[in-house]
Amino acid sequence: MKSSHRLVNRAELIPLVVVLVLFGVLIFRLFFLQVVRAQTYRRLSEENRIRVIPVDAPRGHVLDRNGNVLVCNRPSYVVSIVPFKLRQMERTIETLASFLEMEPDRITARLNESRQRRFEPVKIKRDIDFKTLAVIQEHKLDLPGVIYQVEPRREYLYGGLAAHLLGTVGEISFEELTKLRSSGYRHGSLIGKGGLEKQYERFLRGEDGVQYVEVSAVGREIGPLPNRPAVEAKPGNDLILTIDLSLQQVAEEALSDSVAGAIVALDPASGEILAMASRPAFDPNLFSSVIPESTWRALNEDPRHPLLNRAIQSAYPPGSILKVLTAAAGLESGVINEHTRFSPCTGAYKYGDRWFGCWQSWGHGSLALVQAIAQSCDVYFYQLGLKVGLDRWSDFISRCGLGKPLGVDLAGEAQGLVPNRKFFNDHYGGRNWGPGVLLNLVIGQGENLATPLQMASLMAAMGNEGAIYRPHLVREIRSLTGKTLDQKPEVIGQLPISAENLRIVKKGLRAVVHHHMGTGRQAAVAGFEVAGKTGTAQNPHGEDHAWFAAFSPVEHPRIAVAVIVEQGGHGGSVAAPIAGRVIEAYLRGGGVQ
Amino acid sequence: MSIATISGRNVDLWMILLVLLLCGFGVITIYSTLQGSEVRSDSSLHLKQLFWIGLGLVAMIITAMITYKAYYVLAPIIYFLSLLSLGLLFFLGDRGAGANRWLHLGGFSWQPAEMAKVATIFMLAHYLSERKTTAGSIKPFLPALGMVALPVLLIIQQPDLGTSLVFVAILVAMFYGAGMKPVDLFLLLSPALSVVCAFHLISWMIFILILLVMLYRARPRFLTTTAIFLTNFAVGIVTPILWRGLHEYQQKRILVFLDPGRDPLGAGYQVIQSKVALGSGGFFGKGFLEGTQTKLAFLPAQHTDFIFSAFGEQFGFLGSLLILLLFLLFIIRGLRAAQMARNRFASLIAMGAVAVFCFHIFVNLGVAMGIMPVTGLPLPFMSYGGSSMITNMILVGLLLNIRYRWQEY
Repeated sequence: MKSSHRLVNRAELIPLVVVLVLFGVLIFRLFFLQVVRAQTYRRLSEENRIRVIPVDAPRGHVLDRNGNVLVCNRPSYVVSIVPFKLRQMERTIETLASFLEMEPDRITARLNESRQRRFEPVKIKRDIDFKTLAVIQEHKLDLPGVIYQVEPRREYLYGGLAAHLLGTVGEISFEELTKLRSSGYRHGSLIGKGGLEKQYERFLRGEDGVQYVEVSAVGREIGPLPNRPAVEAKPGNDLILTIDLSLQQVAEEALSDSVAGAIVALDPASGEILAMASRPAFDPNLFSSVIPESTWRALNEDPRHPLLNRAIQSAYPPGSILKVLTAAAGLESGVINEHTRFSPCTGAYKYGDRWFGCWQSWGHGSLALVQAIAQSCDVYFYQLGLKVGLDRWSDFISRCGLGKPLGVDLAGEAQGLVPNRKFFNDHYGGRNWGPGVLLNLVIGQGENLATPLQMASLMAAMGNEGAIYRPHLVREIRSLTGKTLDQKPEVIGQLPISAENLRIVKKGLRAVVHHHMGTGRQAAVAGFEVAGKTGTAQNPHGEDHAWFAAFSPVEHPRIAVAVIVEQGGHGGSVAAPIAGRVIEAYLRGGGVQ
Repeated sequence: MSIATISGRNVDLWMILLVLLLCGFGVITIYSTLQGSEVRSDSSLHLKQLFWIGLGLVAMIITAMITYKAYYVLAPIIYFLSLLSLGLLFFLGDRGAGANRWLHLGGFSWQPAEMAKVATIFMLAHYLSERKTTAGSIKPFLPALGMVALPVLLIIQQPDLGTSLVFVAILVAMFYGAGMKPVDLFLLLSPALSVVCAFHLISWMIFILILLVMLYRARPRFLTTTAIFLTNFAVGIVTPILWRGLHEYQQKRILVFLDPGRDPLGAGYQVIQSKVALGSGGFFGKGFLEGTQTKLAFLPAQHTDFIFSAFGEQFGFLGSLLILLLFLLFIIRGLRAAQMARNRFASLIAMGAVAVFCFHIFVNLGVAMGIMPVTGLPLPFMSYGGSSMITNMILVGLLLNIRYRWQEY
């Protein structure tokens, strides 16, 4: 064998040297651990146990645009079990269950869910009252392994105020945990379940800390582990919302608890949402501790759907509000001008062999465009719509941004619907619908769908020279170190309406409120000019939905509002006064910048 | 005496003996981790491991019997198939548990990344053995760089940083074996080093100094010198800027990816417990089945990634040293195979195989001893697991094969 002299070769020596050095490092380290430090580690392993105690990071606060705290945390007691110390399992669990008024099976189930770390406390019941805690303390000896800890609990200071947009937190579910375990979640972690709490979870959450504690063989804590300092919990970032608390309160009060509906108010110049209310509402505090099954079921199965955020998740036919865009479509396509008149309104219009009624059964007579908008004359718009035609009409409405989500920073935004030829062919088949559908569409009825947010955004764009901003709820994300993330206003589109035509349409909108024949006179606010449009959405399941959408002042508007009251009846008499109150409160209050 | 002769050829019995010893210690340790822990449901893992060892031995023998000239011919096809199966992961992969490493096909599950190691070794050896690479030029190595980059890019997506780095070890060893000078190797990998060093000004300045010295020593052509230097300089400046541009949570995600020990409830906990297990074993160990860390299930992944800690707790410094020596002897036998082979292809394959073993051994033990970030690489022959056992046995088969036919050209 020639290997002996081959080894002398330098090129073949280097790998050997590298390997020897690597093994040398390992042996050196091994010697250090198992010989030099052996005593220390033996002490840690035999006489003591190391316990890792997670420290929950407090979630970030949520503040309104003026710095009023809406959501914070307060300390609360949680009863936990350390599985490793649990003795006489069945009896202990039964005793504990009776004190906590829980089913023993629930406790066993919770223990089984987190079998992985037997030395980590498993949370059994959160937010227990002081009396229960005192009882558990008294019976400490009968409850080996049962401990209590203090943890931050989510507190919604104004109860149901803005509940739908703030959202809720709750304990992480099994499915969420399998997905998120690598991001630092563990069994029992709180996580945003809806609204902004969910949307901005990764900012609000913070980073859990950890304490390393030495525990004696009998389970008594000896103290922090030497050479292993605790990792401090890092609180989550604060959210500064675009919401104005006082305006939100006005909006919440303007919608009574007995109705279903929604209000959205926007700053037209930025898309910032100033107020967003939805009825019926719920109290998010109910979710913050472990929510009783019965309460959850009651909320979830309530036929009035209190958990639904109607401002963004419900889409309704926009009713006569859409006439504004039909008018603009007419102007833009050149089929009418400001002074165009059609056959006078006699209370109904005959198309083919069918009569299409006007809401004013005795008729409006002959009107020009501005008055047709102000008085919301259906017959005028039937004739205008026929001149524009279905394809041109639906294309124009789509280009105005309807029929697709606006991209608000909340999950579950409905996209609405702008029906077009393809839609009818797909849904009814090519032969089963006629040109008559157009008459319903151009006055905002029929298959049209839009959310209150879309209507508010449309009004904002009208008042804002056609610029459509992305509506958003979070203004700023502020960390403890002062690092912030500003949400800049973002233009997402432009109404396809020329400045001149926009001026004509706005004249009509102004007349809705300010002309003595206008349908929205009840939205008038003393001292300010309001432009708006009523809507009464036909509802096949009951009373009509009442709409009103507006912006004010007419020039350089500072607020745009949409109001819907489900089954409220006429927009002019039900929704318009509510919109007026919201506008008045904001403009009189100075409308904080 | 170590080499038995079969029909006039040489079988490295020493190597087989070393592998069997290590496997045996593995089975014993796996058995010990099953005692007393209430959490584990499967109490027959040591028997399953015996099955894997048996299957591995069969794979080893088959691999050893086929002449490596067949591997030479098949290398590009094997390489292509393994890339294909890595690519398939994107569509068919098991997406459970976050990581996407397993492929299920007709009742079989395997990790394509394991096969990719062998395939890449074949491909590199095939390519490099054809080229005259002794002239000191880097150029012929550049396509080879691409051959390693492809599987690495596919694996790093999974995401599996540890396994991706194995390929870097393969690259270094095989490029060196093919005649690349250490200085050139350094220059070739310098941009990656620059990224790592760029996080601290002083470390980066030291790096640039070393780079300048290396450039001076290697003295490549002026254009190459300038290109290498500028690339490193640009990378070093851009990295911190890009880093600061990332949001905090993105930075954190990357840091935890590079060093899971940063997550104190996850991997950080594992490392502490692993060190306590090893250290408390002391010089002589607590004795077989007497490991309290192991028995009380303080030690995580004790039958897979942290098996060495479980062994070290029971058998102490003496036992651990024995394991290290067995591994060292094994590696030396592997290097010997590379040196003896007269065929360039065979010699390169041996270098690649040795690199895989070295990397796994050093990183796994480094993690267990708390001197490396937690990467989740198994310890060859000892950790429980079928995929890695079979891959390792195939690599051993290749080493035996090369030793057996060392005189062939």
